[in-house]
Amino acid sequence: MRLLTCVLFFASTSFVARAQDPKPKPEHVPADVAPQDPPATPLETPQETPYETPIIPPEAVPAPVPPTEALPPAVVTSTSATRAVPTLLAYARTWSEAEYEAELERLASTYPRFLRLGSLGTSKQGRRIALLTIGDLATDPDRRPAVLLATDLEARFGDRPGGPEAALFAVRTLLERAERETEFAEFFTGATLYAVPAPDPDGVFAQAAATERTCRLERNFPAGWQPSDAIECPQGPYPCSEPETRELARLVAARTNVAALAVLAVDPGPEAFDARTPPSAPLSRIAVRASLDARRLTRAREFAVAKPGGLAAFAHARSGACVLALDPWSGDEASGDAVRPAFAALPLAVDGLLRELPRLEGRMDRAERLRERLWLVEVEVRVAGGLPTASPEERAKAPASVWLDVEGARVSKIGARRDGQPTANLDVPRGRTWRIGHLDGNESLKLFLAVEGDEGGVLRLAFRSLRGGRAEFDVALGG
Amino acid sequence: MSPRRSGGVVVLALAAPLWAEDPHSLDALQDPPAVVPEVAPVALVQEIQPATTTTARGAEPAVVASAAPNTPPPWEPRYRGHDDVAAWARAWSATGLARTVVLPASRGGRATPALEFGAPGGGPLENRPTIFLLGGLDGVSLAGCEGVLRVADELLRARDALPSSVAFVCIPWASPDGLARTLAGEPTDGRDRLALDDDGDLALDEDGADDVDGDGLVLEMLVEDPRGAWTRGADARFLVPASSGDRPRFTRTKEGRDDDGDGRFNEDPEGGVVLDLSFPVGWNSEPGGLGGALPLDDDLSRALADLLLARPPLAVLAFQGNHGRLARAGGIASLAWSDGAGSRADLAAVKLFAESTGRVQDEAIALRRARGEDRPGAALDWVHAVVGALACEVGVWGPLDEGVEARGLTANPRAIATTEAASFTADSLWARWLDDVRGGIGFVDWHPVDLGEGRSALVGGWLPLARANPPPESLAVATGGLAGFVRKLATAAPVLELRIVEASRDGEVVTVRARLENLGRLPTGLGGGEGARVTLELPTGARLLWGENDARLGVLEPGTTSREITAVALVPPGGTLRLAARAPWAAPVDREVKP
Repeated sequence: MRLLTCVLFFASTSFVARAQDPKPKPEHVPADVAPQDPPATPLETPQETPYETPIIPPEAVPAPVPPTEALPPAVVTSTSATRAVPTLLAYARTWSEAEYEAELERLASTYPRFLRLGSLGTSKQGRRIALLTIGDLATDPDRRPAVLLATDLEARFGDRPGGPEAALFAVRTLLERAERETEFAEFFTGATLYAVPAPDPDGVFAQAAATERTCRLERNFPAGWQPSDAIECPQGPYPCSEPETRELARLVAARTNVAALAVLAVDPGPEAFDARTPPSAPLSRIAVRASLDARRLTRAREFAVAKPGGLAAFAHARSGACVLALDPWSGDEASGDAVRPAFAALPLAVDGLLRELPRLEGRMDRAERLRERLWLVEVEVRVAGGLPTASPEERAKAPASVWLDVEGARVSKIGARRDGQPTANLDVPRGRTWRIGHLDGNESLKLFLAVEGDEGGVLRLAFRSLRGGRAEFDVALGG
Repeated sequence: MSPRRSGGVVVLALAAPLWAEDPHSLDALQDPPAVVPEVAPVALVQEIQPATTTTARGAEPAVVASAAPNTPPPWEPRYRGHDDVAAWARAWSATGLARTVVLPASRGGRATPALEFGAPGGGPLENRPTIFLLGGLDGVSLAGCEGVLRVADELLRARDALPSSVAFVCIPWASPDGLARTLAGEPTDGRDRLALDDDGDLALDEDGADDVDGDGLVLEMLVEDPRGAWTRGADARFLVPASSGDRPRFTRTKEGRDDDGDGRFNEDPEGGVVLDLSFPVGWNSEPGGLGGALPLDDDLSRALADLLLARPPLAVLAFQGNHGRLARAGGIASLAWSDGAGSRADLAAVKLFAESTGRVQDEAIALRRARGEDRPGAALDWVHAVVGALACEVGVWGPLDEGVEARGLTANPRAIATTEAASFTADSLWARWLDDVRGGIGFVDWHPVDLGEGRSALVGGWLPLARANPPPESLAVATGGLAGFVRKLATAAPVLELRIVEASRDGEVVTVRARLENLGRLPTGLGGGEGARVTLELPTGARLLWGENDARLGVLEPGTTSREITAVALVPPGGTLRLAARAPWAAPVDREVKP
């Protein structure tokens, strides 16, 4: 793996050592979790999702190739006299609470077009649990397919708790790229990244003695949670008994647009979990993009999803989320002025996951006039991204995850044709909404619409999905 | 907090109980009945009044009226609304005989009235083993609410005679939003008003029940379906699970149209969550499963859970259900405690229940059998598994309460064999009640309705204030004896006695031998987790030479003594040793020994 070399400059502001006492309780910031429409989806017990069916046999996984995107050079200029820009290398060490909060504010003020800084709530000791919403904020980011990036609640990197630095590194890199590259900025109009760099700020920033908690947060989510015989009850008396897990679980339950979870956790190692499942297509593509071992990603994913009461298990069970587990502290050490390779791969992996999100795209193929007020309109809707619009478990419970809203003219019938299958009529609509069904990753569906409308009229079509966002376009009838 | 057993977590669909919109609004029935009911029920219910006045082992204290100023009027058999219950709680709190327990409001903004009380002289209430009385946590059982009100009323009037080692917490309207909807006659199954997408179609509450036949009632509906799960039983009014070969078969739902055109009926009604099904053990995560998006996700149910964890637990009694019996934990089949006969504590409770109410049971019935359906996420199962208290559902109302005779109880549509030749089903018991006691009034026979687009169905079912909740004139019978049961339970609580077998000194070497005895009628806990325990605290300068200074004794059954605990220590002259005995369901006992 090629090491990346960056020329770095260091700003003048000094970073204080990790604080001895907890940060004073911050001013209440309204929680950035408002139950949205569409509402919650079913919660299932964690199990392997067949939609991640492998199409690339392990032996055919290509050897890792050098990443095609280079890390951006270190940003040198300060945005203000008081907000120094940390060097990229600065992310590779332990930060204090003050440094962490300062960096959050700096990012929010530097990238107002792409970053909204909010709060999930407060921790047990009163610290803010920051939620970063990243994407084009000109439109509603909560209605686009999304990835949730979170540091594991029990991330133990070496001999200290895993901090927010790695997640912030990934966020910063992606923000700089969005600011710099038009194509990437355009991509962020169709996808969203939620980041929770420090879901357990007490565990990260407080002294060990000050953290009085017998409950293990990574056992406290309601997927696979079980009451225990142990007196200490490490998984808590009930799921989400702790404010940190409760707010994070509510985020996952409320943000039904989250289709994937990237969790930064310690790599379990080859002996910890025997993952016989071959890498899935999305994971294989991400591995290529970020120069990672796809089998290692699969093993880490299996390990994360299998942990009962864990965040990954919950996200997977609750919303069928694709789980990507990354260990930014594994592998080779940093060399010289370069960040360690695992760090460098982080933003590329997150970028890869974003690109696998099930983003709906639609277009009109043709509109043919059949009679004076009768038209045949052919349209196509496809999923750009390797993940489906609904997991197999969700498909078993709900008849559709993609709907079509029609305005401007009356559509009397719709036929739908998938590749290699005959055209089937769709069910009778409910009002102006047609139930399309479910779509797999990268699948396209052709629709034939019988439309009653006047010459010159405009048919407005809007495909929408729980996790695939929206695709809207107009069809001009004649003219 | 003492967590208990583990159990499987299974996701199962819950068949929604049915309700109806009553043209004779429940509000009109809240006035006290002007006349004695015409049909005098056969007195199956007897409240046994104890005659003793001592508090010796096993004896019950006399019922003595408390002379407190401004005591609210005694309970009367009628249905009360939320405001009435809140006023009741305030009135009792104002007397000084009870204290308000602060709980959050419901999602709908309704206050949750709650009181705590206990006999004077037993130390702080929050330190005493506590009996919790929860009314209508299922959002349907208004009779359960009245049961709690009556029990609390009678206990408070004789507060001084209660055992001083036990505290009581009563929450008469434990599911304010669900109960308010039930009281208003809405066709609800106990859920609150939280809008949820039960059918996963991105729309909220778009397909609820409707009055299809325009009779002012929303009852049940049967849609003919070759793959339906139900068929008509021997009594054509009632349905039984269909088996292979049965014809015709039906899908059973509430009365209503397919408002969202998806081929299903009323699968996404208004609301919500049933608080009693939102607890994490066995919780159903399925859409429409009534357990909510997350377990214990609202402030009220979480505060309730925290309250149960904060107090030393003795018993949690949920007054709800229409099986008329005492049910133990076991809401779904996959839980380890669902099978079997129940614990000794369950059996002791059943005996006390029979003594007080006259309702005899062959066994401690698991919740799912008593209800005749699975109850995933039931509060009782979490209480049993995590809190470690005696968890019982008190079915205030049932078909056997008014002169209907049957041996044993079977609550499943298919007969469940008990020790006797009991082929009675819950439906047949209710049918007998309906016909023999009520003269057939209370059930609307099945009649065809046109659903449009060539579809038809049958509409019918039980009226409100019949099966789910009793007519007001039957409330006295339904709630009779319950206060006596709670009083007996409190009196039967385990009582620890530390017996010092030896406390001797030979120079500076001190020998202490002790045993712990349970003088009550209930065991000291459920078993598993933290059981009875005796600790030895040595004075400054002392040192344990050998033996135990922290003895774990497990569960002490009623009337039993533990093994001997021995400790030999080096204790300076004049030193005092302190023995402390603790058990989950008993008040703590401390003894000082100065050999």
